[in-house]
Amino acid sequence: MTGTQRLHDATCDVWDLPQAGAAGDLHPATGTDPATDRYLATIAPAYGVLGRVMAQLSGIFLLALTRDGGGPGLHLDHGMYTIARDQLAEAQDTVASVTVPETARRHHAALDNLAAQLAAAARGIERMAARMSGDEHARRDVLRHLAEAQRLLIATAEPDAGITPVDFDNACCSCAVRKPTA
Amino acid sequence: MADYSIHVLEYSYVPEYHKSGVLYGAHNEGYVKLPYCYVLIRSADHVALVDVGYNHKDYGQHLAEKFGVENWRSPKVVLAEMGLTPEDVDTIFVTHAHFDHFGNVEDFPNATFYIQREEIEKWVWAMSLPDRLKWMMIAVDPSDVLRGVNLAAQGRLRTVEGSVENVLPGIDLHLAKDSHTFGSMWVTVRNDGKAQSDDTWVLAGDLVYQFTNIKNDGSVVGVDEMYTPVGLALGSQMNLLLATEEMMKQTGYDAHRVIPIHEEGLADTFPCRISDEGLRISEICLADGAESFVK
Repeated sequence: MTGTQRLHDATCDVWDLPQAGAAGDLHPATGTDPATDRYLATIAPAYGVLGRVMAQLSGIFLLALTRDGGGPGLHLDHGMYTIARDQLAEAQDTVASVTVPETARRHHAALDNLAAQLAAAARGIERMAARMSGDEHARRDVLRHLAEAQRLLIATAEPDAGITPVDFDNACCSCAVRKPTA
Repeated sequence: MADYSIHVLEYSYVPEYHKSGVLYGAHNEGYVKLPYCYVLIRSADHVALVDVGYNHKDYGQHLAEKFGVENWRSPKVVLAEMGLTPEDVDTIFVTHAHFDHFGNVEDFPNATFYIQREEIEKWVWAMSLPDRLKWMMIAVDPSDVLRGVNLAAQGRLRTVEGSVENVLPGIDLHLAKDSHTFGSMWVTVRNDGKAQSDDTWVLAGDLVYQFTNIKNDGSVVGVDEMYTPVGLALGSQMNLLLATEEMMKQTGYDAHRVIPIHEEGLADTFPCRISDEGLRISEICLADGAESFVK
């Protein structure tokens, strides 16, 4: 963590988001301040978990779709699924309990929405697994929630604060070397 | 008789990549250029790719500024050099789920994708592990898994379990379990279509980065040459070496027929040219009657 962290400027197009519950609280980021740093430091692990939960739910859904050939109902690996749900619940608790500075209200609202989208996707997967719903509409509904979660995950990335969907620092063949600085 | 033309198409590169990342144990031995490529396999009936690169609009600028990845060009630009568009691609073999191989599926709207089921299953498992085990999650973009779901929902993603022959005529897929990644895959092209082929090409994905992984100085163990694994093994170096042995066996131990995609030295072995965009096109082989794209 460095002192150079800041949230996206209010005019940045990453904020072209659907209106979240806290939309009325949106304020421009004013730059670096200790409260924002504390917020980012606290939220970073939860962000990482939310990204991984999105991947887990996506992967579980992918495996179920390809195993079943897209037919009604899903055969879930419930062990993996339960872990994803538990991690989502923990991340939601962290997001709910963090102290949110004025500069981060919109960021926090987007994260909260991200977690909600994942929870909705999980509920949809559960319904399909229980064969309560297995039609095309149900499938599209899960995909819609996952896609919205993805959009929010990218929008809330703050690479300077280590909040990024991909761990580029250890990537395999592309980016393990840093560009020399003058 | 050769059914397929095979070309390695560079779409970006890292000018200076630490050699120890390419060759296990090559510490303090400097830097090498690391091209980023995908492989075009083309016949009269099919246009296939091995891997799809990454999505520049998501991460390109970040990669360029932070890590020195240069000169990224879209599949539209790269394939145009071959007289093709991304829409022409009907089949894509994803060797593994790292973002620089699996990160651009959206650019190929008409393709059916193949990936090892093991790769997806174990990434999902790895994603569930605590942060102290996060090393196992490197280079995987959660969004890529989601894009895979979209493909699956459209019926355009096939998960493969182990080896599968004739996915396209004369093209086989093979699993290298717990090697570079959990479920890395290589692609074998039997270009004469025979079960016991005399014209086999192996497209190695990241199981082999460069020819040195196949033919490295073996003096340290008292032999002329030996296999040496790539720098990153999420599984084990042993499994990388065993996969290398199997790939070499398929080619009758002709090292030039195991094609590494991060190899600048392809230019020393195969006809090639540099495109107007400054990217290399290497012509591995030509189908019967096909015209060269590098002359």
